[in-house]
Amino acid sequence: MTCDQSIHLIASAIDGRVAPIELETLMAHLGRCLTCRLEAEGQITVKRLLASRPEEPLPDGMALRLATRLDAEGPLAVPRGIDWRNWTVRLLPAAAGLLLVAGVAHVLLRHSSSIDQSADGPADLPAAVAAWGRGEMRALQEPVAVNLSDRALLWASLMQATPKWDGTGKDETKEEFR
Amino acid sequence: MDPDQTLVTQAAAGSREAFDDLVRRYRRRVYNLVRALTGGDSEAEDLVQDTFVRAYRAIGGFRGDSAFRSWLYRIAVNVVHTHVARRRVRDAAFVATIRDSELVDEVPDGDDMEEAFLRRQAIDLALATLPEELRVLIVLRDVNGLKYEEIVKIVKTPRGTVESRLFRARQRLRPMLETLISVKPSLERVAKSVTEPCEASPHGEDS
Repeated sequence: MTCDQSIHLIASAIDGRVAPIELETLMAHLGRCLTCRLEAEGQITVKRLLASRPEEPLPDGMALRLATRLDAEGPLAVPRGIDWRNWTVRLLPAAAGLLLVAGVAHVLLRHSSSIDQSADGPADLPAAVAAWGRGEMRALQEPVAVNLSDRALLWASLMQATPKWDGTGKDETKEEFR
Repeated sequence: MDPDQTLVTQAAAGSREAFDDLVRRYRRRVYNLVRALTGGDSEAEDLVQDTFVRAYRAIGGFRGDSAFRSWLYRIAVNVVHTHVARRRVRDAAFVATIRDSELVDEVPDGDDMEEAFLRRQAIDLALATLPEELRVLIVLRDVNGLKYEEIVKIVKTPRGTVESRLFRARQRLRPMLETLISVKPSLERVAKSVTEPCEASPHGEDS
């Protein structure tokens, strides 16, 4: 056993937490090594000394002052039946999931409604945009059937409106709008 | 089972009488814990009051994951920690004064009140020289006799770390408490009796 190993074991042995075989090895080492033996004795004596610290009586009137201070706190808070803050945190993921499902369901319903209406002759996109331009706000609130060519037009106009990055960080679109 | 369980349950349900019983049971122990943790700070009473007020406010939410004593001691340790952090500068000056003090060397033998007072004061002053992370552990373990499992819960530190810090704390305290160590002569006897000292090769290996 090395002194390093011995020191490590002393720390455990002081509290009686080493196996008998380890204790035997440690004692054999302590029998030969003055440094470790003095270390062990020092640890034990300090521990005993601290345990003998005389207990101190409470200062006069402290019990009364403590009671008065607790009185000032009012009655003890009784735990509520349901800890809403705790439950809110716990239910947050479930609520988010429900919201997501509701959103998807809503979109699907709208989509199926749009398909149904398209069979009866839905409003086309250019006509709806034109109506929007005339201030007929409700025109765009109605389901609009968008055909492939309309989508292509929309995509092209979006691409035109998107500023192209030229490496300078300058926003070309903003320049145009000045 | 936690010996305080019944009172804790009643206090958590709003019984002030049960809480008062817990206060009566622990006020002196908490006071001594705080005094030891703060090196005999004169503000210990205020800190004890803060501890019980915090416990009073929180007892309704005490879930019993640990023993009531561990829970209460943890509050006390936190209250002291906050107190020490606020007064760190003053504390440093205080500790420097203690290091130069002759008080530890003046503890007489005897069994009277004065001896007890001086012995306690010597121990508290020596404890005050330790860094907080060592002082808290040594006070909980050696002064208050708490088990390792309880200490680990209070300070939220791994057991191995607790062990090595306790070892270092005792090492540092020993020279300061030299005059209180009554077994010093026996150590000298031990030194004489050892036939194969290994100071020359302190990290040598036994066969």
